[in-house]
Amino acid sequence: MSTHLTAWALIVAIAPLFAASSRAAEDTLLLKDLTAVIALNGQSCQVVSAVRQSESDYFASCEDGKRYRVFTNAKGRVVVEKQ
Amino acid sequence: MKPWAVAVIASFIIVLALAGCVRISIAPSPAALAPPPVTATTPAVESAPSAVAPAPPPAAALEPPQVAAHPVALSPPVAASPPPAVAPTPAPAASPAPTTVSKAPAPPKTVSAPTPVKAAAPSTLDLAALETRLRATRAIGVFTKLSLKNQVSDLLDQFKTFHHGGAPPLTTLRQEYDLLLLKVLSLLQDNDASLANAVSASRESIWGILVDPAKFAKLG
Repeated sequence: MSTHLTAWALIVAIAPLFAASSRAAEDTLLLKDLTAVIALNGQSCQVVSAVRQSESDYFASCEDGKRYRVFTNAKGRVVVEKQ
Repeated sequence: MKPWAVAVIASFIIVLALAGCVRISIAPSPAALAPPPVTATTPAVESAPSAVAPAPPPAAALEPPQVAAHPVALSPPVAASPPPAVAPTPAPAASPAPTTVSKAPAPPKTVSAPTPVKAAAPSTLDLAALETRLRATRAIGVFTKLSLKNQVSDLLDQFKTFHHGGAPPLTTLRQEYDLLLLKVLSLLQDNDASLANAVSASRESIWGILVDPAKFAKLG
């Protein structure tokens, strides 16, 4: 196998790993964001996971098992609903 | 290039990439979130108070970060130049600050070190620049920014009523203002300390604008 071919194969194999890594970083940012916004609304929650419902609509699960829905309503306000 | 060299480089890159992927296992750990979509029917248990008056609970929720925050965000400016930034805050929310500041002097040399850098921060107030920086900062997520914006709007509405002779007394407004500022500072201090310092240094100037009816009217 030529060197060039090997290099390309490596690039193709490694690229998804980097993509996954950047996605994980985005996830971490989102969890931090949700944690902060829930705290701003007076609830204590360390968000450990989130499920996206739509563009600005998430279900957040806290470390202690609580769940919150965080979304923006029609007036553009962020609403935190305990589930 | 020799095959073994390619293999060595490739393995090095793979190790780096895998190190970056370690976070994946942390973030989405509890994957049992399938049920939530059904929740649309449940009436908002605590939805309404979300943006209206979250004053007392956030204080409790945010207290730990604030305590940690002050030594970082507030103590350098105090040492650097302006006592005015800290001294004029009579609100109860400001009371924790002195206590943390008093604890901070224990390691005195660390406080003196950053002072030259902070000297530029407490400059004159530039609301537009502050707003731009707050919009642009990556220290705060999109949801959080929007939520803060909502709370700022609520506070401005209260000031509007106040200037029209309305209900909230100035002391209440000051408390809410201080609380909101502390929230912003606690969000900024870890990842955007310079902006946190700028906001902290502008605290009294902004308050001056809010209280002055003429200046407040110009805010639009």
